[in-house]
Amino acid sequence: MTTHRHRTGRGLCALLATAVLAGCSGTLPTDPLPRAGLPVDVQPRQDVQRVLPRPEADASVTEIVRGFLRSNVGFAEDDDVARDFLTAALASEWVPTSNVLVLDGNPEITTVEPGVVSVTARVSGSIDATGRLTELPAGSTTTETFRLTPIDGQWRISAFPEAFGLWLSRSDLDQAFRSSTVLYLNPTLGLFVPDVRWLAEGEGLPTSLARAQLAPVPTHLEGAVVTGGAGDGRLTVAAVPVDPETQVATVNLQGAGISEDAERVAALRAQLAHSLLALGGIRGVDLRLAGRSLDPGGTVTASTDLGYSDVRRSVDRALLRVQDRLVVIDPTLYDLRNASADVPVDLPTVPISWTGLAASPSLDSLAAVSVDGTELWRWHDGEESVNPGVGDDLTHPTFDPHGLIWVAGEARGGEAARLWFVDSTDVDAVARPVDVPDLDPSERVRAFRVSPDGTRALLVVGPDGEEDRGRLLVAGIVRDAAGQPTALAPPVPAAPTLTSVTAAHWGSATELVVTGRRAVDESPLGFRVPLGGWLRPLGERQGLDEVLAVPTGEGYSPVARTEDGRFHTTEGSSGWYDARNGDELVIPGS
Amino acid sequence: MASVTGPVIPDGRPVAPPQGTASVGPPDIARVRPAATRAHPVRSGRSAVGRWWHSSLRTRVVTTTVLLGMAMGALLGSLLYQQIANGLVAQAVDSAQRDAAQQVALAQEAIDSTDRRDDSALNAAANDQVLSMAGTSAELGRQVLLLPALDNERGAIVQTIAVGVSADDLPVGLQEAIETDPENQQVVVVPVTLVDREDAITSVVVGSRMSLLRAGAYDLVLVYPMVREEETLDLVRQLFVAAGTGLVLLVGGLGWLATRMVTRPVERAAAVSQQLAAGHLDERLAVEGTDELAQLATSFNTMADSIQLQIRELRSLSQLQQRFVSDVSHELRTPLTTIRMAGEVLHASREDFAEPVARSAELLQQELDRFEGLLTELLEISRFDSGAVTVERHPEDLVTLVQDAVDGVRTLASEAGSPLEVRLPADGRPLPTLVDGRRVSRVLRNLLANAVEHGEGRPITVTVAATDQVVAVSVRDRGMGLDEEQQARVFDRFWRADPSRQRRTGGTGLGLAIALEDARVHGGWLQVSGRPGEGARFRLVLPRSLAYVIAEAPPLADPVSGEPIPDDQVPPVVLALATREELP
Repeated sequence: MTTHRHRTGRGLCALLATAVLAGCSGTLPTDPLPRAGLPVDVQPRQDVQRVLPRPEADASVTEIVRGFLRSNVGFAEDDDVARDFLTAALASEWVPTSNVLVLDGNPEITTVEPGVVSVTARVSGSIDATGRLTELPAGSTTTETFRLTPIDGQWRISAFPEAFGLWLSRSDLDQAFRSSTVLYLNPTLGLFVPDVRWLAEGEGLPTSLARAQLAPVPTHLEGAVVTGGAGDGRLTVAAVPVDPETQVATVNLQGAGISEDAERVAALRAQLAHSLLALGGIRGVDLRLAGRSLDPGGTVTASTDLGYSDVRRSVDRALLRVQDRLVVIDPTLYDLRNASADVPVDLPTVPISWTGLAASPSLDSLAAVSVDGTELWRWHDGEESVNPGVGDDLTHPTFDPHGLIWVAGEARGGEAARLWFVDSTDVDAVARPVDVPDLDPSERVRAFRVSPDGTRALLVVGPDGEEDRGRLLVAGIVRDAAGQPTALAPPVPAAPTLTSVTAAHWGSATELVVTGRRAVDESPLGFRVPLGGWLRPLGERQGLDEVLAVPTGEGYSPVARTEDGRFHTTEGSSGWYDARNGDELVIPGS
Repeated sequence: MASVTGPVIPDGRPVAPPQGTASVGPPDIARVRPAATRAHPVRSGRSAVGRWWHSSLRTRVVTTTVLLGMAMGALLGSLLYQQIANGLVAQAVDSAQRDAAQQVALAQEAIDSTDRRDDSALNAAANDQVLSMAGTSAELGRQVLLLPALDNERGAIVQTIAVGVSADDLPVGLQEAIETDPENQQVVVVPVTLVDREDAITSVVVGSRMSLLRAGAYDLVLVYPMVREEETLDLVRQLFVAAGTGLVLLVGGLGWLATRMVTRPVERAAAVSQQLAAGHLDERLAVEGTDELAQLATSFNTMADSIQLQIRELRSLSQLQQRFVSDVSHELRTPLTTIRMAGEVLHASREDFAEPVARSAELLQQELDRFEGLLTELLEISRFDSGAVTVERHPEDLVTLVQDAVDGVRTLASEAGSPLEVRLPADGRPLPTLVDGRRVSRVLRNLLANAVEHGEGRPITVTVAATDQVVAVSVRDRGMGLDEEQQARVFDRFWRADPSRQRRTGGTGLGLAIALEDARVHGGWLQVSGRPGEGARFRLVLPRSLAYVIAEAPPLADPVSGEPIPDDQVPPVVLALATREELP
């Protein structure tokens, strides 16, 4: 009995000591044996997978190069077959999107010497590292050399041509790239300024777009537009992931001083959110700065007020000039019939000595130039005035969204191309000049039109005296803090495949409608010219003089004017409808 | 085996000077043990802890309560502490798993969303992603390790990236577990040494499988240091220690208070009991209230009343008997003197009488001698009983006393045929001892006569042994011996081992009783031992100084070996100081 009690006592003491020692050990309990936790639900998204052939055993150098070019289209896939054709060193360095050539037809591959292959291909366009597409004139070709090295007895490409990125056919380009829009801002009018870029399709598209959005403004728009992305702001991680369930894209930014600049933050928010939401498949954008959401709600959606809006311009009435009389018509109708007289419009008669008539969006201001191109006639709310001696060879005037009347021409005495703008609401206002120093001194401006967002202008320029050699340029209008124009940014060419441009108008913020000829055309045609896109010809019309654009909100309707004084609306995909006669068709606000 | 008798412990009466006469008081019912001073630590008894433990009921209760309170507090605290620690870890693991799932999903989405696939871009993206996932310090969040999976066959296009934790500190077996079960997270809780800290922190480590573009399978290991959990646990521990200390103090205090409520009456009862034991028979407990303690006090007082009454009755009866004996003895002396004188006349004229008458005169004279001796011893006994004994101590040489006593019985021994052998200490020096020589001689004479009486003609040995404090005299015969019952009664008055046996020395049956009393009044012990058929041994142990009494019975056998202590050795004794009043 006593022994049992002692044993029990010792057991209790041991238990107590063990419990105390274990309990007061002072450290958290550990569990070093791995055990299963939550399921890992991060399997890669299953996109459409292209089955591209890998290098075959003992393939020749030409087969390797051909196989490589053929598999270029799969560069964005996880199983990047194209890199299998490269040596390991080259595969690790290859940046496919650094430069893209769009091929027209199959390339010709010839072996120059062992391990050296020459490839010749017809090229229809190129895309630079920023995604800007430049269409090349028909018949352009390129010839490049690829160098190969045997690796374990198998030929592999060891050296690219200089600045090689991708060579894609037009169809491959449409599969692997998507035309996306980078947005800049016109803070004066609260408008987005679109700039089209070709970016790689796939899960990396939001990242590419955000990266492009954060890049500096292109040279031809410097000073004309505002962006919040320039400077030291960058993506914290080179990725903009999109949650597959909520479809919310997360943009995590970092950069010194961003958070202190409220205007910049607002601009960034507007630009990134609006451009990403336009991609499709994204319902919200969570913009974060150093991990913290910039929006109290956390996510910007399509319904969020960003302080800026897209340019949406439409007109429901236009002026048809017959002799010196102006008639209000409905340009959206196929027959351009007269508009209803519900709202009477007070319009002056315009003597035939004035041509190139332009009207403000509300039709309360008109402008025209003299037939000899030396004077500017203006009318505003019943008052007329003439600005004599502005310049020579004045182009047709144009109204911009800022309420200015623009006209281009030749400076008197200096014989240099020059622009003038004048306040449309003040008939006594003086025309102020803006120099165009980046133009060739021998060239003259034959047409000048301001974009619907007010930040850019198209210029049709050409050598003095050679009317059939006009070319198309686009440049930003540099303005000061008060919104007054101060200069024109260095222009970039548009639609270089057109060898002769005679007229051009803004159809929308991203597309021009141009009258001109390609090298293959015998007579002028109308063309749709998307900025950063492929040229698309309109239907042919004999005796075409000029194609106008009637804004319809999202897009525009072309209206052709022929040399016989008739206006034609589109009919079908490429036909023209003979609408009515007239001397000029004035689209307000253009 | 042995019978012992205790010594008389002097009470508090004044002590005569060494040469003077000390009187021994009447035998009290309760004798107060003198304040003892151990002459030497011969016997330790209980240990110091044991004595402390048994010294006080309150001590035991409070100590037990505190110890049990501490034990239970420690046990419960430990269990709670463990529960809290486990709960903290479980919570951290759950939180880590959820966070890891979210982080891995985000990382996978981010990696999938990169727009450049060259090595440097992939490495940069992975590096940026890992950096964006990692906390700035161990206290502020997760640490990240991205490394190729064990089954990655595409080569390490993306290098191993570690933030806050070294790849060398990856828990053993984690990557193998991920390889085995890539569909689920793999979780371990282990101490991890972080880059910015020297000591390891217990951390939740969650490993997950990821797929990197072009780079293939990678393992993303997220380390969640449980710094806050450890701080919480430290706080809990401090609170537990503080609360436990408070609880133990509270329990101890409550135990002390409760014990005090119980022990104070008990202490009062003990004090009253001691007073009663000291002879203050009129002491009583105060009865307060009607609780159990009051009942105890009432019962105690009733018991004390009863004891007091019985003691008074016994004392008066004893005194009556003693007085009767004394009176009878004294009263018998006068007629005995007359009878003796007549007897002596007859004895002197016996030759004038006829043979039968002369023989009767001789017999009369012998019986008168015995009768007178009996009366003398009865008077001596009555003096002991009445406490009227006087001890006249003088420095005596005990060797001389022994030799004189031996010489006194030598003739008788010769008649009985028992040789007498005396063994003295080897140095042969005298043993001066402060004793009443008459009484000690009487004791020795009685012992020797008893030995001759029961020695059956066999040798008798007298052995003297001494130390500076104690002297021992052993008288050993080789006669019929004594069994245990006989040893227990050998000092009883008028007791005989064999009543039918003829007395040789004419003893009265009071000799050993008187010898015992003589030993006791000297503060010594008279002990008997032996076995039937092996003879008997009587040992007289006396202190040599007036300053001491022998407090406890000297052992007859060695306490360690169990062997009988030889006659020529002084047994180990516990000496106590005599009452202070007795000290010079």
